[in-house]
Amino acid sequence: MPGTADQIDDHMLVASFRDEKLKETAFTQLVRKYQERLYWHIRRMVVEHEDANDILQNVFIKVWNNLGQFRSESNLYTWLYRIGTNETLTWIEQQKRRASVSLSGDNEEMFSERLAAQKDFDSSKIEWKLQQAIHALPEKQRIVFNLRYYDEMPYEEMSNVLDTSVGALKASYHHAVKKVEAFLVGN
Amino acid sequence: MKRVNEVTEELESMGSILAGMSHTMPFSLPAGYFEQNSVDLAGRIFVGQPVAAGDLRDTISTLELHSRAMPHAVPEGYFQQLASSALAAAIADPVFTAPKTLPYGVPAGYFDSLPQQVLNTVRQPLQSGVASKPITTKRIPLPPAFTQVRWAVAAVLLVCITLGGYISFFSGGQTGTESELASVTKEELQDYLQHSYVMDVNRIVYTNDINQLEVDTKDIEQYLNETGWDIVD
Repeated sequence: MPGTADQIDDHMLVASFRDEKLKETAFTQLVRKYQERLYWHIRRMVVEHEDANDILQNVFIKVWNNLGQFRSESNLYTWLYRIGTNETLTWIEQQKRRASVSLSGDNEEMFSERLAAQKDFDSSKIEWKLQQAIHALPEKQRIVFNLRYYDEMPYEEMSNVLDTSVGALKASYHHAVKKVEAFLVGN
Repeated sequence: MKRVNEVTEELESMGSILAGMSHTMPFSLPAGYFEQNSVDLAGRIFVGQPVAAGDLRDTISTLELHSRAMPHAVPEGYFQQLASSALAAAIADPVFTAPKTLPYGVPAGYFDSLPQQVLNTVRQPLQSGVASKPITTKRIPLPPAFTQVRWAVAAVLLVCITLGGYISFFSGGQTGTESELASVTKEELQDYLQHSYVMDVNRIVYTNDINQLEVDTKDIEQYLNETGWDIVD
């Protein structure tokens, strides 16, 4: 999570981006700074690298197009996560629609198949079981769980990313933890 | 670091097994360090207060003798084995060994090349000229005579629009509907009303039970007078 120095860096990046001469350099720095965090945020949701890459590129294209109008009083880090989350949820909705049209199966099955198709997948290993448990959660609950458990994001920041109250997020995380536990114990 | 603790504490407060991640420190300490240095450590707490080492040692030993003994019985060797058995149980718990790192792989050099890839993608519309091409307007040259009279044409149009507005809104004349009604003769209106009235009565009679209509006798007499019926006593 960004500290004060990080936020100053972000302000500098945004200011540099608004300068035509520095725009590309600032953008490259911004991508380098946030690419891994955003990548894993997306990858944890969509599983496949190719899909995560496509979504991430779309996220950065949106950042390129809108960073000039970004209001510096809000947190750049939160703004990026918000774009990443929205793009990911949109992609999942598209996949759901395709699945319902082609009658190829439901959404949960799709993700469990994707997990099973991953290199080095081993259903007996705890890290893969945990992923299976997480993918059995509804999308928004999964995002809340991932942001809290893996990214260790404070609820206040999560509230800005997901546009949901802190209380609702706490309740959602609590339910998610119980479901993950139940899955791990049951499997 | 604080945030990690927050997340773990939160999981613990939920009583979740997910909190059971390894929290042991990897650093080593000299054997018996805490036992042997207890007096020294206690002495450091009272910095600036001269306390004799002998007095402090006596105080600690007295407290240990009188207050630490518990009345409950514990199986022999329980505490010696507790740490190892708890550790074994925790390791056997699958969640204990679950790392927060993800099992997914990423192509080699992916993150190094990503900024350039994105930059190339956002540059494409600029290079193809789609986004950067300015929108231009074509100027149509007018004959010199037209340019001279265009102000006169504009003035005439303005006067026409103003006059039209004045006649419509401020002339005080009747509106279209009122003038149309004024032209209708009295006979035509009477015919229309009588016809409508008859039609209305017919509709009432045919569609309702006449006995259920709450019609006053005076109303009936008035109706019969108006429609030319003779009233028989």
